[in-house]
Amino acid sequence: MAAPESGDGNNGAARMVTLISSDNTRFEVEAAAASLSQTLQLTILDGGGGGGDGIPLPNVDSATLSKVLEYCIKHAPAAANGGAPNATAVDRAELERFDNEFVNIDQSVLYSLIMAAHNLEIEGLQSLVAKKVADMIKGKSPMEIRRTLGFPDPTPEEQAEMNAHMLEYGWAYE
Amino acid sequence: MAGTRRAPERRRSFLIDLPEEILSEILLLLPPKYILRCGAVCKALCNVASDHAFLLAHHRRQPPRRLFSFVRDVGDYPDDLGLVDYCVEAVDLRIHDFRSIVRFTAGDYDCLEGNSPFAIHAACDGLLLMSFKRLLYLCNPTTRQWVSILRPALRHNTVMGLYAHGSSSEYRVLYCRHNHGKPLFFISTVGSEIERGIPLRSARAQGAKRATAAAMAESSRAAVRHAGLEIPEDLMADILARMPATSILRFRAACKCWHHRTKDPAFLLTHHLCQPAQPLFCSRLNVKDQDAFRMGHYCCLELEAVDLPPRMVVRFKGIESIQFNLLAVHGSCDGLLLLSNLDAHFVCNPATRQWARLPRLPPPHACRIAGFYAHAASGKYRGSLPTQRP
Repeated sequence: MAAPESGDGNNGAARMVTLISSDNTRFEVEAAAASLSQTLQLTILDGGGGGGDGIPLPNVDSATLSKVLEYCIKHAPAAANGGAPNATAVDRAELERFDNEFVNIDQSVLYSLIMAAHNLEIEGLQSLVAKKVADMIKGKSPMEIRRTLGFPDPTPEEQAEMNAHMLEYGWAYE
Repeated sequence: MAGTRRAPERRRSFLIDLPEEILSEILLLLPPKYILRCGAVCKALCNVASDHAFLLAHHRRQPPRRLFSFVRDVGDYPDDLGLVDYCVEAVDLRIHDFRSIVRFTAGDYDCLEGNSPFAIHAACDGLLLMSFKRLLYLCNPTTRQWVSILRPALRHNTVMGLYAHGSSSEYRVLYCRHNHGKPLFFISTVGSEIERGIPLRSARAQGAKRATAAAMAESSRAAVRHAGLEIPEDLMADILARMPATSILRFRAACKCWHHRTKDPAFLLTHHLCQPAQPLFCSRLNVKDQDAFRMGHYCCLELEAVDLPPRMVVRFKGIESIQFNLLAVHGSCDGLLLLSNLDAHFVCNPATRQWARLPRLPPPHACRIAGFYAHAASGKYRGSLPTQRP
């Protein structure tokens, strides 16, 4: 994993922190990347997570955590620059491409990603996954929404309710 | 329990497992049409999508649209039916696009001769209180739903406002009607048809004009009381901080809770920081009080701040005209000025035009003020005096 930022200049190398997932896998990442999480930021500022300690994250499993960290590492340089001023259009387009591909995932992974983003309070990731789910709903009929989001087929009474609703707001289905 | 009884192949959507606040965050990103569709998808989504707080939050995220009300035949009825579709349209300033908000169909053309049969009386939380041919309706342009409202009857009443009643989350209409030249104010809850009069405080032995003023003040106080409950404290402070000082001072008279709120030092500081910076420029003789000036009793001194055009900041009245040379500004902090004239020091607040004389200070010619600052812990302001060298 490339580290283009030289960090705060401690011994010339970026400061690393260790995160421990719920199934006891250890992940070592740059402090700048982990600090995208509001939850971790304070601990890291206090000097936690360094050396052999590690920060335990009992709510996040290793598969999800590696996915989350992939996002953090990609977005950390842009966040460190404060976003706009230095970022070229190419950089931004590249991030956008990455984001689009990043959320192109299985629904169970998406679910754990949503929960992890909220637990760790990573603002960018939160809005990214929320937008993904919103896009899955947009432009579809109720039946399609049910299928896309993995609902079981409706029971007869559910179907009746659905029809009644569609009758009430007919224009919304034009 | 239900899960264990179900067949294993019967899947569950991950949406159902999401906490409600995350679900509502996702739904907030959807256009209104799909929020409505979500209502048909399943119970859990329907519950979130029809929650009052959620709908209000969703409404606030929508771009503002200016309402234009005019009559336009938008229907395609055959001419011999004599039907016209009237519509109210909103213009979206960002895309220069008209959007139809409400439509009515009626059977005659008389409105085209002049007066529009439409009137929009009030709006609140994205709902419109409007009338068509003197019949009142409450419309929700987003869901295209409407209810007919029987009270107030427009023939006798004038609508003053529509507001959300905080504790009951009902919508209420404030209106007035004239009774032997005196205005009477009433409130009715949308959908209930019951009207409640607002008693006037001081209608006794006063001219009709005074009574009107009192009634207006009373009713606006009532509206404010309700409206104040609805808007969160911090949002309210945010709005007030953007208003000019004179409006803030006027608000204090409107109701008690606003009075307290606008007197809070933290708020005043925020408000001051929102104001444009005014470098102090000069003091000069003001000749507005010409009578007093001619009589030789006193003159007025004004301190002006540079802002185009110049604004009066402080006014002093002195016994002798020579005193204006001795008006001096020693320091400023949070919009307060520390001033002195010939015989005393003053702290002035130019925004509220209030001032206080500083006690227990040596006279201005005998000391020099080094600084003026806010003492954080006590919230008091302090001036620092250097050791004096005569």
